Amino acid sequence: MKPARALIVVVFVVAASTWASAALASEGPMPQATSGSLEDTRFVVSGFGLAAAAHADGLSGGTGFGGAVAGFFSPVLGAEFSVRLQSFDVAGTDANELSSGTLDAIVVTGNVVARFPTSGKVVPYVTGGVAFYTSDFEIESGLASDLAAFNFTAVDSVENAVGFNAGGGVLFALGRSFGVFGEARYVVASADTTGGLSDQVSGVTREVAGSQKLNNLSIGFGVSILF
Amino acid sequence: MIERTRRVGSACGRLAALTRPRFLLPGLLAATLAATPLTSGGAGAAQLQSESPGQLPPVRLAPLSGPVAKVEQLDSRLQQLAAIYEQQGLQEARRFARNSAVPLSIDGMVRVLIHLNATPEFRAQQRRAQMADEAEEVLFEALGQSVGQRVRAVGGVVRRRIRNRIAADVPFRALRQMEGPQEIVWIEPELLPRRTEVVSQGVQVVRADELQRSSVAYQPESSIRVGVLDLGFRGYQGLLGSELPSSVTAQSFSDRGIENTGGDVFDAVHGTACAEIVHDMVPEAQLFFANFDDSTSHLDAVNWLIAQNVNVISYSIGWVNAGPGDGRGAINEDVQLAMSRGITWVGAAGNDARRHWQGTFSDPDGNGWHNYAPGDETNAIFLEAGEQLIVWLNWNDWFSSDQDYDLCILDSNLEILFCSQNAQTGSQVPTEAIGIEALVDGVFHVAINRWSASRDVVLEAFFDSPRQMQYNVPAGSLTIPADTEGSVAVAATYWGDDVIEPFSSLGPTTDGRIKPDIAAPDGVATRSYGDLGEPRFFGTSASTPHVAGAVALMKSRFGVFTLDDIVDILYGRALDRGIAGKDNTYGHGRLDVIGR
Repeated sequence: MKPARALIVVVFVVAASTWASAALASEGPMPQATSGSLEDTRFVVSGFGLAAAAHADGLSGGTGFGGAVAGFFSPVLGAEFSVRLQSFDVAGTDANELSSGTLDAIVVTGNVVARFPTSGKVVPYVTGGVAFYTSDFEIESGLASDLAAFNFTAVDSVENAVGFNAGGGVLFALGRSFGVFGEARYVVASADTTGGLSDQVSGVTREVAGSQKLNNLSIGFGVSILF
Repeated sequence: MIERTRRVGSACGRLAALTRPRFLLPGLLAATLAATPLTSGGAGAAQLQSESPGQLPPVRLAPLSGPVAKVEQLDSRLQQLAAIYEQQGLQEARRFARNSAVPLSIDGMVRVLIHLNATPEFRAQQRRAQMADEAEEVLFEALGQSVGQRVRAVGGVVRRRIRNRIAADVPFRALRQMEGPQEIVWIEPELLPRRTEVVSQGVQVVRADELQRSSVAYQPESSIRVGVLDLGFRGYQGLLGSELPSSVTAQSFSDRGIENTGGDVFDAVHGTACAEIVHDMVPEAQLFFANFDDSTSHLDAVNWLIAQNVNVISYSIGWVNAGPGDGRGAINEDVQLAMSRGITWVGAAGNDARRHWQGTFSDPDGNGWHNYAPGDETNAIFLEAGEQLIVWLNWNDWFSSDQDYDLCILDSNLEILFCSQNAQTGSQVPTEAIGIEALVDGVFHVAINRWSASRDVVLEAFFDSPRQMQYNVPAGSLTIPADTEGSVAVAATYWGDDVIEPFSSLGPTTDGRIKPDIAAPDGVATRSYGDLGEPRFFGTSASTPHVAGAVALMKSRFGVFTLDDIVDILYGRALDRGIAGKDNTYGHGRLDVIGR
């Protein structure tokens, strides 16, 4: 994962969420709940860790972490932007044309969130929307060095992908402005891939196109700050 | 100058000249030479062995004279063979056939190629418009049926027809009976292959062992298949599981079987030795063996290898007088067929750098004889008793020539021993071939005569002999089908010092392409030749399987590359030798699997 790319994405998400909050704030007062319940919160900023189970040939693992910002324009509906950094193990297949290695992905989601208010401090929610993958692929370091010893370089790469995500979770308020949550989210996406070798002596390069599904089910746990 | 007269066969096909003492049978030849003082021959022999060609006295010949009629349908060697058979019997005829490279079948018939004609009207039509292949094939099928009946009527056997060529076995007594029908334009002895080795660590030199020891792979090819196409695979079964894989697939297209039983012993084990090197280079490859006898069975063998889905063919065989040297010809077509099916063809460049001569016909004094040097009309060569000389001549007027040139071998007294006098009247190929066996030590002379020609052609001669001839031109000594565009032609460098072997054939092709493409080690050890007392396998024959094996090894490990990619990679990684860049000696350089 390139830090610069992650930083750019995070800045984008923060900026977007800031714009969203400003827009929501301009819409006028919301009905005030008299009890200060979770349904009264307008913004939720979260940080989480996740573990994913890949659901695609050639893909395994998927641990990572991320952050999200959600803004609610009604007690039920809101919008959420999230950025998650996930790392998968990749095995070469006839479909992906890649060699074994690691796929570091930045997943940006833009979702609609629907929460189901209760009278207590527990708020279940569901969410769904689009997912945008941008990935870095690195072959196994052992393979890379072996290839280099014979004057070859792998030219494997994974292209950006757009997919969908959907899931749900439960937020538990631990105080007036703080809570924890757990959620499950399923992401469906497929990325174009390129596998190949380049000969450092003759310059001969051969690339073959493939594809790699990025479907995975992630389980995340995190903390939220409520506004 | 020495006077001589010569008459050649009339249009009826009878060679009156063969009754004259000039065309001496080997037995009579011995008597004649015995009458010649050996000291002169010996002195001449000593001169040729110890002096440079420039120090030999120039030779002038008297013009040939006599009636100009030639037999148009029958090759000169076949004419002489028929006459010898009629006059001297079967044994002498077989001896002549052996000395002149006329192949015989196992049951003793003459193996010939019959080139089919078509009616004059058809040929005119063909010239005016491009006839479709299918219609042409229908015509040749009909002609082939007619000619086949004639062959069978004289007691011969039709082996097969390939387009306008019929391969047949014809009894000695029936050779002249084949002349006459208009369906036949030319009858010649079947073309013969020549193994390209001078029988003698390559794997380590080219660093294939380093790749073999490593586990590195990228999209490896699970099943790499290499075909070895050769003359014989004697003893291969005894090497399975040691020098060869535990099992191979073998198919013979030779009358002598896969082990070339009854054939020359070095021909017979040649394929096995080559296969050993392939296995040394790429142990994981499946090997497919196919052997053949001649140009006809050659196509059958190639088709079989194609059907086995081989990735690479290793071919340590060369041909002469089989095409113009620009990538065209029957053998070249077989190579192109294999390549069109995605097979990488790796073939030997040839070992003829020191056995090759070429030059433009030059006859300043107008006596009809080519001048190899000012005033010198023969190319001399010394032979010891029992040694053979076969000379193959062709010129740049393929494939139907009307430039008639002849080839003669003379003794040390400049008496003509044999001449190859094929007619070239517009339908025949521009080739001549003749051979002798020396019964005593002596200097022999090879001369080229212009019988009837409108221009000075570029002549090319190959000398099959253990001796060095007087005039040698290494450039352009590539054998067929190493000239095929897109194939990989391999030169030989000695494994110990990377220096090009002096016999390794040189380019360019006759159409100016740089060949060979790459060089690889020779002088390596094999079990097959070691068992024959030849501890080292020399020649481009030994070099070729190193390259074929390298292509297969790289493909098996790095399957993402196409075979063409791998050939380009090996060209790029070759260690440049000789002049910088690709040259007509080393090609891109000496094979190295890893590169710098």
